[in-house]
Amino acid sequence: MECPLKTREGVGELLDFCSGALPAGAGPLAQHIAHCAECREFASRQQSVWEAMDAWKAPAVSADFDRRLYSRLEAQASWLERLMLSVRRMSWGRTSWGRAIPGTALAGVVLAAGFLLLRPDAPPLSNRAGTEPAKVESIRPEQVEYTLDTMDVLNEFSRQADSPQSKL
Amino acid sequence: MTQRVSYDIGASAAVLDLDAELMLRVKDGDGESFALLLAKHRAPVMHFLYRMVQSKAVAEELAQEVFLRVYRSRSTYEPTAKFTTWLFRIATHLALNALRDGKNERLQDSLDDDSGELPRQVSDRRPSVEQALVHESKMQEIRSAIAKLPDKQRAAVLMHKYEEMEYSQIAKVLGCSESAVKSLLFRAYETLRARLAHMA
Repeated sequence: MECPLKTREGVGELLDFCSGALPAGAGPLAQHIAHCAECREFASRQQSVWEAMDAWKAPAVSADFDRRLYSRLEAQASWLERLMLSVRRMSWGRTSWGRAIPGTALAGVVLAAGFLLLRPDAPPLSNRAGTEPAKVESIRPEQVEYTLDTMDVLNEFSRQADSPQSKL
Repeated sequence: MTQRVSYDIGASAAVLDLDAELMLRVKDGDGESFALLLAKHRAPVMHFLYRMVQSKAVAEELAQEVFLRVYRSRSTYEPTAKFTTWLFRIATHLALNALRDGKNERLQDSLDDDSGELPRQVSDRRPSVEQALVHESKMQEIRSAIAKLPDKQRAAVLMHKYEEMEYSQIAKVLGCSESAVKSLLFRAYETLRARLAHMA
């Protein structure tokens, strides 16, 4: 058997062997390690590193982690998501009538908005609130950055998942 | 035990892990499934991020951001890979960004601020001040050795050692080949072996 330290595949196997992921005392790798001083040295030092790393414990998650997360989720939810959430809460019953409520509510909102915007006798948008000009919600740069960032991660992830290598 | 369920994707049927099935339910608006995913993955994600940035406060902030992104991406979620691969890809991306943006400048402070890591024992079994100092000194060396690894090597080592992820999964998270992951790990462990040799 070729010394595993000489190939990437072999190194992976050696690391698995050292971590106990491969059955110890069996197979050609164990036989090789028994006779190869370099591999024995590698395995012994690797074991020491892992034992040292085992001692490093991460702290517990704060007790209010979930509460803070749900507060942020609620704060970031759009008005439509909040509406759907409220409607969904009302329609959690298993009836087909109950399941139809969210769609009906959404359709109602869209129709109402369309009627208000498109009726022929409607004054121009800028005049609707009396002397107040129509206000357009400003787009915050960090919001755009956040969205692009998320899309970037998801697109990259999808490409990885679609690649032939990922199907192995 | 990993429970598996079947899910139809177009004409073919694929076998999904339970997490992916839960995420598909989240996509359909099931808040309880999100709560289950959060309960299951909150600690591993937090621990991974903590070891990446080595600050509890920054790690919690990033972990919150991970789950916010998971929730906000639910409508576009497709079960093309293991859920944890997707989750750790987001976590790694955020951690690497935080390190680049200098959030880890708090790192040095946090290295001195991990009093919670000292072994907590009761009454007469409590370690002496000397033992506690020796332990803390060792922990500091380990944290420092890991912190000095290049970002990708550090991420690979943490996923391999602490999250026990497979090479293929680490490769997908880091966006490289399996053999590149093995190479990263070999170099990283080689560095750690040299830096921590005196602790053996």
